[in-house]
Amino acid sequence: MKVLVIEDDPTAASYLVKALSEAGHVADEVADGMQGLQRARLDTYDALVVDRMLPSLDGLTVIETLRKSGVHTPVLIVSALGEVDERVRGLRAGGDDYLVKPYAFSELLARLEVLVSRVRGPAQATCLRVGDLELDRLTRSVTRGGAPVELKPREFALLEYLMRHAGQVVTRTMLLEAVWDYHFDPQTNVIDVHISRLRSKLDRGPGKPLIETVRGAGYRLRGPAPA
Amino acid sequence: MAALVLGAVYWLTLGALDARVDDQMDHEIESLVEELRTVGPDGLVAEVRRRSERSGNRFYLVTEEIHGSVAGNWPKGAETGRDGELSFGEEVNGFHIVRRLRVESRSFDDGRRLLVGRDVSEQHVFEGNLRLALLGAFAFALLFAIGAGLAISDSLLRRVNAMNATIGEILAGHAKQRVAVRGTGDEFEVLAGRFNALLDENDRLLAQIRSVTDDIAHDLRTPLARMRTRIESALAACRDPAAGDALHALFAETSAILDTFNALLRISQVESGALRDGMLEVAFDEIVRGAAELYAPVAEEAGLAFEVDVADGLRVRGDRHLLAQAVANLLDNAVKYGRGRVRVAASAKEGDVELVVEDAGPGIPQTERARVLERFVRLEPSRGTPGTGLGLAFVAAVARLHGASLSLEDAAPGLRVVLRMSGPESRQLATA
Repeated sequence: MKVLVIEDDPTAASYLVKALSEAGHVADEVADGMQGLQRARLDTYDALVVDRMLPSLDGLTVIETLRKSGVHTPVLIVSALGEVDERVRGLRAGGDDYLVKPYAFSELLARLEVLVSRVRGPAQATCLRVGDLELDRLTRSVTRGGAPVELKPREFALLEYLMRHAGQVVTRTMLLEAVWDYHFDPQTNVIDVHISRLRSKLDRGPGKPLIETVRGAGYRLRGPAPA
Repeated sequence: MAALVLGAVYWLTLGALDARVDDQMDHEIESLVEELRTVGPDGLVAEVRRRSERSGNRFYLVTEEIHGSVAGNWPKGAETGRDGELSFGEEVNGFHIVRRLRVESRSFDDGRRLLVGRDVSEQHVFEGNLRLALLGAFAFALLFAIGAGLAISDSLLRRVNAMNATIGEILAGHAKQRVAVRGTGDEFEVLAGRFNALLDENDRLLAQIRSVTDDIAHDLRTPLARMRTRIESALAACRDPAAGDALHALFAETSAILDTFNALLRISQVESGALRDGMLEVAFDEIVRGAAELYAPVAEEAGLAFEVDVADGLRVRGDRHLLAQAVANLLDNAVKYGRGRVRVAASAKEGDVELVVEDAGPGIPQTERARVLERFVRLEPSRGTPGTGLGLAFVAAVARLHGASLSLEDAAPGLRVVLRMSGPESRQLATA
């Protein structure tokens, strides 16, 4: 994917660009809001990484202006302002996700990939299918290889999120945000326990284990991204 | 002291009275002897008769060997044989009255005797009255001294107790408590003032330490984040599994330090009170249930019985995310340190909302309970368990922000944490 990084801290920007290219993506960087706005309008990017505090034009204004002029490229806001209120303001301005500095690159990458696929993929399918695993959002039922799998509501939400992003890495923080609406990381790795429960319910049959652990990053549901 | 003074007054007064009576009697005897010597026996008898007529409490008697008593007004029942003090009875209006008589006598060569007596009953009565008065005064002084002593010591004790109570509250974690100064300006007030100044200084130093740790956390966050990015980029390029393992471990360590710094800064942010504006009425029961749901599998994995007892419709005014994290921190601790069972309960209590998180673990000794609410304080035996030592400090900060009371109690065995905050109605009344 092709990413534009609008970030005024040159060290942070160059690390990010380097890391993105090492991960096989194309990344450009600009250091102020005005330039960022112009580049984002003219060129076609799969995603934008926008720092909230920028010289000449702040990050939120850049995003608002882009959205008003019909540019709907997914935007990941990065900011030192970590409060939930700030996050809400960022999302209201038209951002698609919000990441608090300092972040791990793996976290940023996982979020970018999810953002990009969200645009590509179908918006609200009622039935999700990954391999022999099926999830029906209307009847709230799950089957694997035709056999029903009994899940608790949170396990269902967890699996739904993983299936929506099948083939992609989702981090523990992303799961806490999406499934529990928790914007903090508990000290104990609670997510690991929930995942292991979900695994034990899904992998009863002879099939391959569905959820794999991606070391240093999070989890990935095996299988192609839903196209 | 009072007894000595009063005793001296008593003896001196009595002594002076006695001496005066004795002097007067000596003088009388001398003047009568003089009469006998200059005028002769008839002169003495005449003088005694004259004096006997006019006196009320003075008595005289002249006796001769042959004629016996020849003149005087000596009382009937009174002895005549010896000097000194003697008693005699008297009938007055049908009452028998005992009187005291002091007697002094002189014998002459011709067999005459002269007796002079003085009724000292009244002196005795006075003596008795004096004794009574002095004893009364002594008793009064004694009572007054005891009373005043008690009052003073009571007042001192009360003020010392007030200071003690303040120290107790400060040790229990209410660092803002101060000793009341009423402005009387005495030594106690000076002491209280100094004591308060000491506490203020203590607070200032604590704040300084906090701000220094905050600065360290803030300043080290950026280089640490860069370090982590470098580790990640090295990891992406790494094809050697052993080096990869090392890099993964480094990544995890760096992330843990960053987490600690972030947690520290977050506590300071909560304590600054800047988040108070964003408070809304929120469903506390759902917050607790959500956190319980998050931790239930963790508790079960740890082999703990996990009891959840949350009443419906519990609403408080607060920050949903901060409260959720506070509850999660409490559950995190309970699951980490608990043994056997963990219980989470939330209920309405007299207009307040009360959360109880109880475990059956080792608990926290009474003396440590205030301390564990401080940053980075972890009990020695549990240092081995993962954690930053900031969990309870965060809970305490959130409690303070919400005007909630947080108390750590003995669940015998284990720890019971009680978070009590006012319901949304009373809170609105309080702020209106």
